[in-house]
Amino acid sequence: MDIELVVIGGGPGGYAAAFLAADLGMKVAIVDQEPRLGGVCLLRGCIPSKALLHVTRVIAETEELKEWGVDYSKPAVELNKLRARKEKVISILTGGLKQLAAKRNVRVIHARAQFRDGQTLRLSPVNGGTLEDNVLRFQRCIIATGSRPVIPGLFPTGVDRIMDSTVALDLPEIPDSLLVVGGGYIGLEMGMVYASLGSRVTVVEMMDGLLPGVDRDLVRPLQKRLEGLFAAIYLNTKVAAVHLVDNGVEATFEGAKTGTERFSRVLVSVGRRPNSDNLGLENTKVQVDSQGFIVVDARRRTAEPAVYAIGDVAGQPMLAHKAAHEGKTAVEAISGHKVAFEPRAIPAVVFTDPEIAWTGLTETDAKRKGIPYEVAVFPWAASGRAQAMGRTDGFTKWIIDPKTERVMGCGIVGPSAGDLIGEATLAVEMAASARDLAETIHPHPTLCETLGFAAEVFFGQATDLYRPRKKD
Amino acid sequence: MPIEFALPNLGENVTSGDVINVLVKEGDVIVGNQAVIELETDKAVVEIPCPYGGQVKKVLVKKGDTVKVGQTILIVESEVAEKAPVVSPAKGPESQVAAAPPEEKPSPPPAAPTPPPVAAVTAATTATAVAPEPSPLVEVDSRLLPAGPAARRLARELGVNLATVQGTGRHGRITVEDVQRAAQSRAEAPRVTIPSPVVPPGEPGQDSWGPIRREKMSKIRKTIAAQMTRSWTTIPRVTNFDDADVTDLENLRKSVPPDFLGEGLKLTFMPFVMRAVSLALRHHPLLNASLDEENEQIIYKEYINLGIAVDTPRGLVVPVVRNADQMTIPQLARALSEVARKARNVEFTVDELRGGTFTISNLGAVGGTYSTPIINYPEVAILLLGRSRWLPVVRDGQIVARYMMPLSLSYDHRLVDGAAAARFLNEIIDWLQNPGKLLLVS
Repeated sequence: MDIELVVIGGGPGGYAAAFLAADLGMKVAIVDQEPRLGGVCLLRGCIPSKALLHVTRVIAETEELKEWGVDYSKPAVELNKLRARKEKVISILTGGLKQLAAKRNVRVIHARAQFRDGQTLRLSPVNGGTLEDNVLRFQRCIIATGSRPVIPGLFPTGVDRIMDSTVALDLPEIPDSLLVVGGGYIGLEMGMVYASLGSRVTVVEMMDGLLPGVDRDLVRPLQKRLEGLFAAIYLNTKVAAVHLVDNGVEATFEGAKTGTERFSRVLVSVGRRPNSDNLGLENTKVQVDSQGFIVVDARRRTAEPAVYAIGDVAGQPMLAHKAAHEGKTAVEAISGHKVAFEPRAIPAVVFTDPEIAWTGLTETDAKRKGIPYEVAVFPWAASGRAQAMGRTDGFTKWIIDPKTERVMGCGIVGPSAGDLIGEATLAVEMAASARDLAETIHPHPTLCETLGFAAEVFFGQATDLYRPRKKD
Repeated sequence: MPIEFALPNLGENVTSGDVINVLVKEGDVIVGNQAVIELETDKAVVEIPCPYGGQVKKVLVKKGDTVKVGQTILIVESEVAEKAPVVSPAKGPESQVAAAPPEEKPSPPPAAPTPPPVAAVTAATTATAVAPEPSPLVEVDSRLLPAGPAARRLARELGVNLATVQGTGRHGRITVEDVQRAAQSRAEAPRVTIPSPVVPPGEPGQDSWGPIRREKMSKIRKTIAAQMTRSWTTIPRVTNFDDADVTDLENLRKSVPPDFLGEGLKLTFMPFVMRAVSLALRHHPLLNASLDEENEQIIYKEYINLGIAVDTPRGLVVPVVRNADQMTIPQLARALSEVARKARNVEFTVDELRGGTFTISNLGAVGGTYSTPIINYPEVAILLLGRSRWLPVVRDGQIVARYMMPLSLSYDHRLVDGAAAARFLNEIIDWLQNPGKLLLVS
């Protein structure tokens, strides 16, 4: 079988690339081990977790209404129905992708792919399926195989009580108690889901704070809320040993917190690893770095001339929207355009409650790289809309170049931060100045106003905030 | 930690270069991917970017030095040993190389924590035998400039360096229109003429008859000299002269409205000649061949890649327009303008100068009629165009004024007989004299 472009992996990077290539007139195939398109994002990542977090948020809102004089009874959760409803979201979306692929004549091959050389893939059937041909010759190939959860060796495998994010999203049960190992975004999002469904959740994190790498001020409001929601948060603490006991798991801690505690289940969410192994890359010139990421250039081309790589497998950050853009860059490069993947800002969102979102330069990075910056913060306590929602724990901050007054980055914490970060990302990409933002009329009363207000703060004069002027 | 930055691989067969300029000095603070030296190789002048940011501790090369691949250029003191992503060179359209994509070595991924950088550079160097790298032509890091994604994309497509563009938007923002203007003004930029009297370059000196200046031969001049000597000593060359009546073609060319093919794109005779030559080569494969003396074989090329001799301030270069026979006249016009622009701006990569099968040299813009061009070895023929001029010509017993283009075809007489060359030249002339046919043939 010969094909112009083969994309290995049908996730958000892979299908974006395949669809664009097909729209440009190429003969395209996607090879995926899953029977359904969508990849981790759709099948066991972004989308199902957001479906569950939607439920979490509504439950939390019913509780918040108590202080407004509206009292709901404690919710009764029917787990089978919840699971099925979440599954419906996935099947609608993945069904849509299947149709989109068919309409574009993109061939979807359900198989495992391995490189035989820089121009050929060997296909093998998955789950007893059959293939019309097990050799696929391609003119170009895009590797979009994504990543998978890392499970450190000390956790026994094949035990339903020890879960990775995939299992946790399947909602096998609502355990009485849950230990979340790793205080990154996956652990905190899933921890929130289980906590709101009734589990006693404990989080253990090796570093000195939750969400390592994120600006500390953005984490603080979330941490405060989590301290109320979770049974415990152990920082500077490692899990030293794990023992399976009757109907549970005993974990021994080491570090700031010591001792042994018993949990019904454990969720291991310590990170993800690129899927660059078992691809037969050793039969090509493709190079892989020490962390397993495929080495690519600005156009996402590997050292093997006809092979490109995008998404999680091609480097950090491991985010679906980054993968999709890389996929389009690779396809445009293949079709002869002078393109490069060089965004100024890749937004990142933690979908906890409150949400945390940032884009472009962070304060942490600015400090580490010695880049001069100024910060302009607008606390949501001064926002009419946040007050009306009863959610004043958030804030909006710009990171601004003091010389040019251009915005270099933005960080937001609060409900809907993920939706607000889009405007900020456009502003950074356009090299907008703080003045541009302050003079853009934002609708009132909304949370997006805070982006304009924070820019006003930079100039020392904000309508809704009084600060003694520090400069003339 | 101090990091040594060594000369990275510059592409196939390029092992060293001469330092034309050192762009940084000790004590300077550089950002990742900042150009640190200008290097002249056999084929091109390139800026060499250093992927490491930090303070320059030591500069180990100076102007005029010959630097080998792998030789240390700088020592950079970097606080965070972070290697910036290398911006890869803007290369020619990939579609042209679908069959055999140019081999490239990718840059390290942005997020990878530093592998020991020195080792990484060494590894890259030793890997060259297998995987040639692109020549590291530099695209200025446009990420900090006030231009949005659409403007940056257009600049990449048009080959505009954003750092040189004056933004007219609010707060100096570079708009899409600014990029278009920059691309256009560059196309219209007048050629730099050498002022007279000319002071030749080089070190002043004295010989028995008076003052002299001695200049080290540039790499490009040495390459030209070697190539010319090889051709002259290898190829028994014969040149045929003839004229093509291009009166009709000239009328047709002048009837095309300005900017019809695209803004700033001037329609000259060249695309027509390239088309005529491509068509004639299809029928005379011997003129598109080369001689394998060692194996006593004739290699017929089934592709037609036209080398275009371009006069640049640094000397003659011959970039190649690939698969010219598959291009229409508007496509040829665009390819030609791109080649000329790249040659003027010294932007071409080594790969773009390889793989020609026949060369066309156009002296028409400068002047002169006939010449005896030297064949671009291992090709077997070269066509030189002189300046077209009005001549009295006898037609049907009447003397009429016709616009005549002088043509000089040199060929390798080992392979091409005089009659074969004449028939080939006749076909070219026939196409040029019948522009209607030339336009309609597919």
